[in-house]
Amino acid sequence: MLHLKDIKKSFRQPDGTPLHVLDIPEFHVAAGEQMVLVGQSGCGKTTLLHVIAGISRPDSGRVRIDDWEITLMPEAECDRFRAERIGYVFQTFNLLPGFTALENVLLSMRFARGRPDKARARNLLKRVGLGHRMTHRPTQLSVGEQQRVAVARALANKPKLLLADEPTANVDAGHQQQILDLLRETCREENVAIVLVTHSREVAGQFGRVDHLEDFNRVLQAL
Amino acid sequence: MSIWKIAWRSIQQRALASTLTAVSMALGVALVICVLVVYGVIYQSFHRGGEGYDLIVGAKGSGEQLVLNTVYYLSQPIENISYAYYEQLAEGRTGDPMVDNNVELVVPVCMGHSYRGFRVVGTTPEMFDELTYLEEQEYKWAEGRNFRKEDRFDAVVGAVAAREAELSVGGTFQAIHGQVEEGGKAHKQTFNVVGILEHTGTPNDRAIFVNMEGFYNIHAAEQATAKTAAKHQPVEKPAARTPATEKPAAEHSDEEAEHGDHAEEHADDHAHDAHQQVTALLVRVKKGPGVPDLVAKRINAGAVAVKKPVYVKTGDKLERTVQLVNEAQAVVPARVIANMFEGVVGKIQLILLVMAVLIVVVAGIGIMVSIYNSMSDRRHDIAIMRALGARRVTVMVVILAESILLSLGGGALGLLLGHGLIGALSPAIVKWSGVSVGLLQFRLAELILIPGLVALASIVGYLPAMSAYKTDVARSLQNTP
Repeated sequence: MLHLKDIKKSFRQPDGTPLHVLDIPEFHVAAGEQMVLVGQSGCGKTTLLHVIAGISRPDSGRVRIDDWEITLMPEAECDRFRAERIGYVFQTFNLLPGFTALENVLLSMRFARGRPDKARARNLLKRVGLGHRMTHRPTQLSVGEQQRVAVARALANKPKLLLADEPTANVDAGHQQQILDLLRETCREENVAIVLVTHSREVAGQFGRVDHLEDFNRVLQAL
Repeated sequence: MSIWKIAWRSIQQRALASTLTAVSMALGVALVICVLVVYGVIYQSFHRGGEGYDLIVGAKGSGEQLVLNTVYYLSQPIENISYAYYEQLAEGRTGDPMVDNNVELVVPVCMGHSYRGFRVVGTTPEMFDELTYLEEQEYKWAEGRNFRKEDRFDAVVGAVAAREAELSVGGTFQAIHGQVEEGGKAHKQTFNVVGILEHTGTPNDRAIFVNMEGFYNIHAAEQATAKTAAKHQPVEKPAARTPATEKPAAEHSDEEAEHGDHAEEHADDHAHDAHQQVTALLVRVKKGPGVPDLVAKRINAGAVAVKKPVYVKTGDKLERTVQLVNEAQAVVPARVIANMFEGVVGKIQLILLVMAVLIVVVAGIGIMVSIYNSMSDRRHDIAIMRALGARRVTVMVVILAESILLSLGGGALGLLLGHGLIGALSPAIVKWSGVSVGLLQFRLAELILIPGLVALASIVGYLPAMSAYKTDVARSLQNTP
């Protein structure tokens, strides 16, 4: 379902020299598969998620999701594809502060094709246990509730792939498992593949597939 | 969720900054509204005066001064034309068919006196019985009635003049020779107020109208007294004359000014002479395209001529002969008023309007600065939207929509503020100009504000919108606010 081939990504440093971050010959995730990516801080995990989501363009290589090669898409088309096929959960939740919980979910639908499905947005919020908090703004929600809104938002457009960048890093221990269970259960129900980045061994230990970025990123191997 | 709602949420998020920005726009728009309304008031005040008749005929000279003096009762009194001229034109005896067949009504006006700062105008009852004002409205009486031709010392008073000079029906007044500020003295003749005009919104509100026969008689009576007194006193020298501009209009002719030696002779004939002069004639012609212009052209070409004494130099002597003279000019007041308005008021209004528009532009730049300064705080939010699938163009349009909402919101507030201000000042404007302006009286030009504000908002929103367009999503996402 997700197939990366010969992905290279580098950034220009202040002195003009390139900083190589990714050099991945091959990476696969099957449809509905739930896997974890682990690696040291600064090893390029978030950059890899950005490349998969089409937020960053690789210097070379191809990213294919189902039959769509997003590296060949024009930017606007890639944006639309991301809105419709990829869900993204951020470490810091990244809810828009001016919008209510429901509006944050609807906003995600707004950028995909078709009219925002208010009923689905409400159902998703009910599923994550926030049926009574729909009209609350992020500042009126607890950290755990904010991340649950972020999960509902990521699933709003029925994506095929959910990218989660340390979704439990900022959540207290009591809510970590709750968020994780919610993510996995909901994705399983909707047959959504998960690529979850984490530092936590506890979190990684719950997944059947745990990939270490150092194992397939040639940049790190060369260090 | 629409783009507008996303933009509105962004405005709400920065409520204080957004409010201040919108208020600055509101002040600019309110100023534009005030300028437009004041322009409208001045325009109406100007144009209302010259309605109800087609031509003004008066002494040769400046057409503008003739109109200012006759229509608005402003400026110094002009020279006069003879009563015989008035009679020829009014009775259709000019001999020119174009003039005689097309002139419907001639109403004379005589000036040169005042009462408590308001012009006293000698005229005939037709002024109010036959002439109209403002799109053919008939004069109405707030109190009393029009004066009658046979009642020589009856007067009617304009609404403002009546209020400010404290005149009412049954009251009396004595006209002053010239203006008080020019050292004018009160005449002995008393006029009786028989009517107060309803408010018309024209300069007539600020004038006092007396029977022309009585107007002439002010001097006749005093000349008679002077003659009686003169019989008992030796004549020392010709009476010193006040400058022509300060004279009652119906007192002196050009020849007097030029030939001081004949002053005594004129003094003897004064009552008779005065009876032969009017300041101007208000002429209504038959309806038809170009008729006023044709009649004016004929009058200016000399269609009406009167016999006047002319002094011709024969050897060392000046001999007095009588010749046919075209002593008057005819002007179309609507055109003179339009020219004066465009030439003077129009330019001032343009300057005011430019200044007001500049204030709106500065307020627009304020919107740009406000949104642009907020961009560093909002870059993260924009990156989130982009990560959720918003296209570059979408976030750009959101910023432009925000700019437009602030502009239009400020504009709407400015409209309310401007019209509220006008509404509050309405009584003072009516008192000052006679033009009533209502709270909800919109000018057509205000419609330009809507596309104007949208265009301005689009221009000033472009820079921050481009900044949003160029947001580096990956980098901005990593920078947690």
